[in-house]
Amino acid sequence: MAAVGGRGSQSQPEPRSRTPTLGTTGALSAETLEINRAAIELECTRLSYSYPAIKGSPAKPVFHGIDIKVCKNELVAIVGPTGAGKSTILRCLGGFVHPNEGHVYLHGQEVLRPSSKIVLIHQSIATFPWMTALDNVKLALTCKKVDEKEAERTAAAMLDLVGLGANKSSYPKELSGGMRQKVAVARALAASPSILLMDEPFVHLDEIAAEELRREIHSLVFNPESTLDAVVLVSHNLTEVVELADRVYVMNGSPATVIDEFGIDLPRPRALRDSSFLLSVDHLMGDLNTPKTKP
Amino acid sequence: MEPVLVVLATLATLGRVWLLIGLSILSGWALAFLSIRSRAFETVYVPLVNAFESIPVIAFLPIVLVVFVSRLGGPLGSELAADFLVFDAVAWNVWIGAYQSFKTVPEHLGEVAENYNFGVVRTLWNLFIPHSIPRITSNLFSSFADALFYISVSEVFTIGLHTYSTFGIGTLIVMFTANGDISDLILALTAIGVAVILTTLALTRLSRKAVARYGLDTRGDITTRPGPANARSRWLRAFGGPRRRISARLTRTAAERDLRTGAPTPTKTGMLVKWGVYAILLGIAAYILYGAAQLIVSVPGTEWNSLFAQTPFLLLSMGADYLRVFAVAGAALAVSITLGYYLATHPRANEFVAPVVQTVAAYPAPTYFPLFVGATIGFLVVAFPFGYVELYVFILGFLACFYYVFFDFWIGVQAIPSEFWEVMENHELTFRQRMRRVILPATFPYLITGISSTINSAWAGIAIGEFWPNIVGNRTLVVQIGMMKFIGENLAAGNVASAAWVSLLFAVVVVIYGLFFTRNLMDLARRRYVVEEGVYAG
Ligand SMILES: Nc1ncnc2c1ncn2[C@@H]1O[C@H](COP(=O)(O)OP(=O)(O)OP(=O)(O)O)[C@@H](O)[C@H]1O
Ligand SMILES: [Mg+2]
Repeated sequence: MAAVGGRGSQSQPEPRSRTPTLGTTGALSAETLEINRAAIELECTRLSYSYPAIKGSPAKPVFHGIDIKVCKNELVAIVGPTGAGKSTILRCLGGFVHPNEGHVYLHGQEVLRPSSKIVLIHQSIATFPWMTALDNVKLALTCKKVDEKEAERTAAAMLDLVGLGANKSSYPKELSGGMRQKVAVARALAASPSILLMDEPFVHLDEIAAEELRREIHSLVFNPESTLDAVVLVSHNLTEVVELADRVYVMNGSPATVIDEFGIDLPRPRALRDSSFLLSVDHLMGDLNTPKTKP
Repeated sequence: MEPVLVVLATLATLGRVWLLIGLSILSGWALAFLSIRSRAFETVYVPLVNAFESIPVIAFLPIVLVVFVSRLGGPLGSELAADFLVFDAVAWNVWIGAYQSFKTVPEHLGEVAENYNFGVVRTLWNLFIPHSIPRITSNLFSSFADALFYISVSEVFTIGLHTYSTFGIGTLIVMFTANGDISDLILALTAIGVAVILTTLALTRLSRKAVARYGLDTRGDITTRPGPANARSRWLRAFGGPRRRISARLTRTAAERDLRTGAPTPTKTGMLVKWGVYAILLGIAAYILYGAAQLIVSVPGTEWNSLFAQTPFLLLSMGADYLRVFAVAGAALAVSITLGYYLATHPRANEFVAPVVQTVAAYPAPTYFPLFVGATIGFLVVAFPFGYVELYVFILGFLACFYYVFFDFWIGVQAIPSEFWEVMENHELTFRQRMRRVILPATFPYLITGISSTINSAWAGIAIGEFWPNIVGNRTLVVQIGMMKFIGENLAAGNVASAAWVSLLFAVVVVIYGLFFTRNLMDLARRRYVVEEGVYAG
């Protein structure tokens, strides 16, 4: 069964009335393809962003007219060539950066500034070197009005969850890269966000650590106690994307637009050597290799 | 009005400052090369330079005066005394910078040099010196500001009935101030202003060029990210000028770890350079010792008794000065942190404030201070009849050191990776939580590495302010109790021995304090708080 990606996103009409054309790999029924508006957690409409002009260089449009919808219990991936603006989109979604055009909505409410409802995990691992693993995680609870004991307990539980129960009082420099990234994950989960944004969370890990974390991350973020509704993952590793994502947005061009939306409905855990798996990867590869389109 | 005289004097002062900065760079290279070639030299040189760097210049004043003025005398003595003070203000800093960058020359480049049999001169010229250029140029600005600060006290000073002076804008300013020649004074201050602005502009450009051309040394740079964080780093790049020695200090452990094992076999020229420098150093040390010995011998026994009897009081005075210094440094810290945080989070304000702060910082406060006192004293005497002298001392100290604290904090804030800012925003930390948990710990090493220059410059301001004869008309600014007041009064009375004795006591205290306090703090800073390690990449 071939993976068939829809390629309709460039000439989309009104975003709200649009029915996404999703590619299918498994036996995906027509209803599941339709995005149920009620299930939308996070949504952005017609997002455009330009970096402001700096002395000498003109303003730089990065992406244009981006629509992304993230539904409940979904792991949505954004892929695109380097420099396509994936990180910038993520920062728009989190409210760290204000788009020039378009809006971001979380549960129908516009996102105007960062909050612990949408937590970002960085590609470079941002743990504070002067805090132990436990204190790093506890930081997520400082703004919540929980008392010290409670915060300590929650933080410890989160570290247990990510498998760092034995390293609570280690400083980041005593931990490996993978372990540090797990501290960052624990910190993010401790904030009990509804959306988790992950910007290439595996890229600075060695292959073994990355593979291990990839294997765990899905069950970790969607564990029964988690408050998490959805995850957005940015990556340029296609295998990783097919391994983890329920749906993929492919960005390309300059300024970048969404050139494809692609559903991946393979059973988990996914076998990396399955033909359907490889077909999905091929499909994404094909998307990225299409000549860059100007809108 | 004396425009020609003012211009000539400004040029003379600038010439003096730049010549001495040049001299300290050249000697810095020579000494740094020596210390990477000879372990023995290094073990002596490095702690010594660190110790000297932490001694306020002003503490040297009496000794310098004795050695140069009373022994050499004449115009040459005055000139050398002025030169020595300026040199002392800049040299340690430059020397440390040169040593650090020689030490961190990448090993593979060193091996290339050996491979091609470069020899001493070519190795220096092609490898070590270029590698040190970014760091040295970025230190130039603060060296320049440091040197300029002292012009009105180094170019002209009074011992007893003698006033020793050498030609320069500092001397002219003192003269105009004394004569109440306001229009010429303003002319002179304007000339300094122009010189400072031009120098700031030139150094900023030079520093950027140097980094662009020789910049292997960009460990401080952070990856750019969109958003406000990016504006921060853009600002850093625009005014990345005086990065000073901070990154150097912080990476010292790394540098020491990189230590090339087994120095290459020294060549003939190398040996020659080495012994030459040894000889020069030895000569200088011997001369200073000789001067000091002469002084000690010339002090009669009864005088010694009185010196010893005075010692408890002197220590008390020293304590008073330490209180002042800490008050000034604490205030500067509080203001710096508030302002620095504000600027870091308001990139637009940054672009305007940064050059202003830089220019104001390089403008030597003692030159315009009498004008300021003249304008405000009538009011302050009424408003604070008992505290106005302390207030002036405080203000001068603050003006002298604010910039250093601010800059250290500022650079520290710049070095906070944008990821950390995003984490703070993400978890909705309040201002206080940000300060306590992230910003202060992250900037701690920067504040600590800058602590000796901060304290030194606070000392300098306080030293000048504590005893300032005839600052406005016949009014003398003098505090109740203070070591610097004691030194100043004794020098003015021609009682050099007493002044030298306090200096000696002070030097001992400073060295002890430096060894135990600053060192430990720095080690702590390096061990725990180095922010660059926080973001794991690559
Ligand atoms: N601070 C900035 N100022 C100006 N342009 C920037 C800035 N940051 C990024 N850009 C530009 O914006 C574009 C998008 O950057 P972004 O980091 O979002 O890309 P990305 O898709 O995440 O790339 P990568 O895969 O390399 O992480 C790039 O072309 C980059 O050159
Ligand atoms: Mg990116």
